[in-house]
Amino acid sequence: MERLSARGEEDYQIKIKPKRLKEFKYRRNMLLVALGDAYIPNRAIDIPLKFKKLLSIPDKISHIALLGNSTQSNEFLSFLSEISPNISIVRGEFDNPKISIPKVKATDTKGEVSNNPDENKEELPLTSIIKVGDFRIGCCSGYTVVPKNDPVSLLILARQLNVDILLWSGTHNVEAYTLEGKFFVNPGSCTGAFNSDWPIMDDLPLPQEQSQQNNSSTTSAVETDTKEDEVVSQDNSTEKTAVEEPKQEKQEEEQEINEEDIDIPDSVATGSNTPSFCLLDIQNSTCTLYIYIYVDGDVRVDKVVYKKNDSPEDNQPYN
Amino acid sequence: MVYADTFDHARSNIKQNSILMKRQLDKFQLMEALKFTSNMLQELRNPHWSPKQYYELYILIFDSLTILSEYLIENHPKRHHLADLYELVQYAGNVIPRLYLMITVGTCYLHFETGTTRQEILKDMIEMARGVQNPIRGLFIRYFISQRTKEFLIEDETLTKKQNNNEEDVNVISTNERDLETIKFNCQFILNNFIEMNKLWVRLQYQGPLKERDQRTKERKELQILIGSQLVRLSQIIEDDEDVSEIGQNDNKYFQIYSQEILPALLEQIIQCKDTICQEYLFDIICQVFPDHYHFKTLDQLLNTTIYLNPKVHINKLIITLIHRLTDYVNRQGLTTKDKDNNDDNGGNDIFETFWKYINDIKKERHDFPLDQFILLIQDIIHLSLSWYNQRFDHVESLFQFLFETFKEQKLNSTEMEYLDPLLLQLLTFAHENDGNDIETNKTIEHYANFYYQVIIKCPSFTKVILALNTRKAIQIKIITTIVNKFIIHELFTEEKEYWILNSKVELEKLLEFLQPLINYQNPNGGNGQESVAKMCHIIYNNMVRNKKITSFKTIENQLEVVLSLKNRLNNNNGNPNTIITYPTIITIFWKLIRTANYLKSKLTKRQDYYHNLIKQIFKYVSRCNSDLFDFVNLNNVDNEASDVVDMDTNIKMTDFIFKLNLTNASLADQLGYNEIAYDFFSQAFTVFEESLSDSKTQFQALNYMTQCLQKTRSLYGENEEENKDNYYDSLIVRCTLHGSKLLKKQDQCRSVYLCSHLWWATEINSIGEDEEVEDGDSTQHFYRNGRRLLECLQRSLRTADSIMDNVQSCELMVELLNRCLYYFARGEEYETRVTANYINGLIELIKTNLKSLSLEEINDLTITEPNEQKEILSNEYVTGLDGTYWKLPSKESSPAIISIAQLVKSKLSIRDMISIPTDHFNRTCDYILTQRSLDARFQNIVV
Repeated sequence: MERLSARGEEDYQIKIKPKRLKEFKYRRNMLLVALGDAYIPNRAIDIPLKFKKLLSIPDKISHIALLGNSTQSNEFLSFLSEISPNISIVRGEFDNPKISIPKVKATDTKGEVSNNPDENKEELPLTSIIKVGDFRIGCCSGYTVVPKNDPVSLLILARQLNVDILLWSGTHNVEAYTLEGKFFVNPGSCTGAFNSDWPIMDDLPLPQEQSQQNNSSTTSAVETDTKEDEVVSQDNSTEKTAVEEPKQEKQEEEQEINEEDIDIPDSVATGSNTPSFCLLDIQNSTCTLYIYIYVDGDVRVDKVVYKKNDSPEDNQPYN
Repeated sequence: MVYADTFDHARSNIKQNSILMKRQLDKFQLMEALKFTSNMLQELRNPHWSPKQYYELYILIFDSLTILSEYLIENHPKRHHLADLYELVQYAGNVIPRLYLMITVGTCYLHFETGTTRQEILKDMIEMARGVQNPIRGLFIRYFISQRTKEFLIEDETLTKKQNNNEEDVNVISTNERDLETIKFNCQFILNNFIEMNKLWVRLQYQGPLKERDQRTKERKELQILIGSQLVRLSQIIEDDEDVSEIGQNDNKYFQIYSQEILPALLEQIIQCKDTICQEYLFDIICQVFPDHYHFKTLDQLLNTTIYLNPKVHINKLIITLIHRLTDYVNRQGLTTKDKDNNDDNGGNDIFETFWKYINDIKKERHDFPLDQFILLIQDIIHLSLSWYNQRFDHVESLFQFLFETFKEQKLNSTEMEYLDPLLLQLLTFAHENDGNDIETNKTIEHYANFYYQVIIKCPSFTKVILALNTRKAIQIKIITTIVNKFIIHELFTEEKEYWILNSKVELEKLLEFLQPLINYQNPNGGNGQESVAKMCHIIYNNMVRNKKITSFKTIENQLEVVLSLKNRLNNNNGNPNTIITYPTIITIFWKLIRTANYLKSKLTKRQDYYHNLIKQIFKYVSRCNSDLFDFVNLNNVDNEASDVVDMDTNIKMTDFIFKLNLTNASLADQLGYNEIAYDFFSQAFTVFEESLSDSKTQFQALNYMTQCLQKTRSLYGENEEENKDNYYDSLIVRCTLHGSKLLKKQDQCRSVYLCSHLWWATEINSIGEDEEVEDGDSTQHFYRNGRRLLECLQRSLRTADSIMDNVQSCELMVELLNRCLYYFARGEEYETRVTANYINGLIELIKTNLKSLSLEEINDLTITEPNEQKEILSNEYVTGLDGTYWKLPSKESSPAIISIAQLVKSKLSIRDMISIPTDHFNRTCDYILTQRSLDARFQNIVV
């Protein structure tokens, strides 16, 4: 896994205006939206309005991959079914094993969900595979992948499903990297819902160092940490040093401090980062990944390009 | 003289006579001219014309008479004297031509006379008009008077005004007095004419046969403008210009005339005529034509009148017109309180009080007053009150109180109330407030959320009214949901979140009281709005945390109390099935509090014990929620012995859900270092699993999730492995693996157990800074790792795979196992993991042998299939999913512009396709090994 140079982090952040989504329709390509961990209404109220506006362009998005824990809200599901009639849902840990997927009917009044629970009730699979252009895309909520979020165990899954791109979720952290020529994308949580995973507690060690032995035909690889994460972790580290150095003074002061005087950052309670989702723009053997992150009331867009490595030596048959 | 028999004939007759008249006038032959005039006036005698036709003829006549009067004025007194002419025309034969001529001459004469003579002429004309009592003809003749005299009645005005300006100050008072008399006379004149016209108009209704009633009503509507014009005329006399009103004196003067003479006379007419059309029309016209600030001051009189109107009159329509006028006026004047105070002083009464007294009067005087009209009326008074007084929610409260009591008295049953539903929805969601004025008054979403909040907090009767709608469940729920949605929209879509603030527990109770019907709502068709309730819980929590510095929810303990009372409301004395949907939200909020408490614990080292106990306590509350849910599901089980499939599904779903909640709790407790609590939650999860989770598919997934959670724990085992032989972790993972090995299906057993092998091989968690790659790192040294047990798991899994009779399944599982082995081989040293190259080579050999025997089956199969078919089959590809389901991959030929989705294979596959699954998977794995060789030399020891 190779990370673009630290300096490069700014370079690949190409600002795209929301208009950009509309332009897509004139090109011969497929747009696939990857969303996960919405947790509406259990852990979040809804996705940000700006996401709704970005997504509300009917007939442009060919497919939605819903990567788990996003089926509790009928309202949300009918919102999605208006964006695109094609939705692939995989089961997350808190999804019902069987759900009825609202279908938008022409005769129906807008957004009304059929009240009959037995109508088109479907069993949610753990995994699903979509083929777009030259790509096979695997979807998985990741909740039965052990160890959780482990790149090598995800690689095993990608190999088992025989896919080029694996979409997974469950961490509420947006992530994208290539490993063994396969592209791994985690769109994070589209609502920024409460995350029961280990909270991010320290400055992350650079991921360059990890699992280097698996690194072979990397085309372009990126791990995206949201800005918020970094801000939070920086906060923590500075506070930490402050506590460590003038220890005694600090403790004396503490007696004065009341609980209500302490500012508690939002991320402390939710343990998660900001809302995010991904858009995959696929043309033949090129996949352009747009990562939409909601930071401080604005949508930040990052772009990563992944090309399928179709060189003959890769496809060597086993002898 | 006779009139023409057809309309066209009548028209041409008038035109012809008119031309002849003009010709005679050109020759100054007045007497001849008058003869032709008289001729054409005969046409107005015909009683057969409809009002429209009559009006058309009247217009032609009016134009001709205008020509005549111009001549008369020009040539007076050199060719004739108008006084003589006035006498002369009295001799015309028929009353209609006589009156028209007389009025024409009379009004010309007015040009040359002022003062009392003028008044005498006017009086005479109006007296003479009494001679015509036929409604249509009478109306038109009086309309003719009014049109002809218009310029004198209003011109008087401007003339005197000019005089006022020119004359000396000393004379002002005397002229004013004279002026006042003139105005009074003019008003009286118009008023007289109006009263007579109105009588004729009402009489029209009762003329002719009964069956023509509708026709009459239609005709009256056509004629109403003639009556209305009289009021317009009145308003023109007493209307003050902008600059005049500034002086205030004239304003007062006019207002006195209006309030003491005009309005009482008008209102008396309205009441006495007892005619619905007349009452509705005239009241409306009064509201429309007279100045709005007069209405404010005469509101009492206006409102009182409505009580005594014909019961068939829709009072609320009249009041709404009036209120709209008043609100528009208020909005025009700007909403500053200063203005309002001034107006209040001027009017000497309180607008709201007036209306308040009014609706109470109605209730007393008019027992038949229908409820729907009350609702509309109240809605309008609220609307007025809110634009008039900015933040007077006590008014709103009084009105809802009134409505509530009216409800109680009327004791309506539910079907009777059905027709009120749309009205109530409008009233109670304040739909009125939300549309129309948006742009003007700059009201925003924030405003609305706060507005509803203020209503809920400050108007207890609002909630009472909503609760009283219990028999109309659908509409009650719709109202609450609509309002809750406003809060949701506000929370999500606006930057300005501090607009409404939850200040105290009392306020919270009020808010919850309002939400209670929705919380308890049971809709047999599903979709009972609990999603909104859940979202509202988040909103309450967010609001509390955001504003904690300025409210009474300063500490986490205060906040905890709020969440607990929220929880109790949702539970509603242990019996609310909706908790299945709403409790998870409460649990999430508890989790947030736990994390916050932990943060505070790290900041306030002095109070660590306090927070430590607090966290434990909150975990107990969460546990209570879990067990409530669990009890509820089980109770449901007992109740529905013969439960159908849907209930079975719900039960599996709920049990699974509770199982996972326990695991999430365990993970959270573990992350904070509460190993005993974590252990307890894991044990509870096991209990749920063992006692209630019976569906094999769910069991398999649930167990894998548990493995995933356990593998991420850190607090359950001690730093030193030797000391903690009987640690929590050991007992939990052994129990988990055992359950895995006892699953119903062998392939589930096999997968579950090889996943459990990870429980003996802890891996780094990046987010807390663990990194395996750091040499001699502290973090990885205490990782729980035991290669021996790990290998035992893999071997156990292999034995299971080998024992499966289905060759394909068995092979596929072995390939999966091979992948697992490669994972350990890549991630750890051989001596640690015990997964050696030799072991892997042995496994590869075994797979190869098995695949060979599989391919023998395939050859047999091939002999049967046709060559064509064979080709088709080759293009298909299959893989297995995480749980062993077969998926048919989309074929490669699909065009790049088409998205295709893999199909879950339900029917039986051909043996050829089945064989391809483990074979291809094995080939892909071998490819991986080959590519790894260049990166990791150890892979060269693996023979493929």
